Amino acid sequence: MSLSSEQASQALREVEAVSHRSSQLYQYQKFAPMLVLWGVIWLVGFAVTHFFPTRASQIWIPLDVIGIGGCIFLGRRGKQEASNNTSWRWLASTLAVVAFYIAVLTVFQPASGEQSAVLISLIVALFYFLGGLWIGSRLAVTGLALAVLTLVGYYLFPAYFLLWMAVVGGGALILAGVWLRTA
Amino acid sequence: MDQLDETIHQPVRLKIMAALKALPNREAIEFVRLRAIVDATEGNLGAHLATLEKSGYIEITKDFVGKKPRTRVAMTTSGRRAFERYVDYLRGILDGTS
Repeated sequence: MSLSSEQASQALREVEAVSHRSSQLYQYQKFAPMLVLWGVIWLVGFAVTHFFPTRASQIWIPLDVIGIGGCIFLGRRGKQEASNNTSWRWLASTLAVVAFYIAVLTVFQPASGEQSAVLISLIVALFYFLGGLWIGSRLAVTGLALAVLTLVGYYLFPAYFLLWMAVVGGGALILAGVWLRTA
Repeated sequence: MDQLDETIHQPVRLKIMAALKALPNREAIEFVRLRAIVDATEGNLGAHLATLEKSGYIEITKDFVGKKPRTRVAMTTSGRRAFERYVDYLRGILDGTS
């Protein structure tokens, strides 16, 4: 059996479309539990920080360690050929975000606890949005929603901003994870 | 490659192979998710998966998650090579080299 160039072109377009869809869904499946994990961490972290603001670092350092460790675990889970590449990329990405966050806070200090929270939330939102541009629209929508909700909370509900971030920010991440899971 | 791989060329099997090739090496996908990507009925997908498995292009594993049965599909090394040859063949037609 031989194919015409039109048939070959059609088959290649089909391959391209299915590959794109498969890859996108795979990425969604990988991101979904991580979003839920960070949603829970935000929920707990921001809520506790609201009630014990002077203990922010004691609250967030262990939570961040759990989040990073959890992402590494989730990234490796289910792989038939365990690879360290993904783990190191996750770790390096997170460390780069933390380094950027600390550098910006150092340059623009003094910053309040709320301003620090806005900064890290916007950085996270930016990464989701940029990742979404490459991976899939649902991730981009998540990033955009997170950024908007963060700014709405900061400017409209300053007295309850940390609680806002716990319930609305954390809740949005959890919902986004479920949304990606159902894609 | 100077001949078309008829096993892969069938439309549903082509979609299955393209979906599996997009995953990292040896990574498996659940049957229900593959069915959504390929847009085939359960019976139709099952039949085509059996053909691909018989050719050694894919591996099917069945297990339980809790009490729910789960079927997972992964591309074998041989399947990956065959699919790459198939795509090269198609590109060759467009380039005029096949």
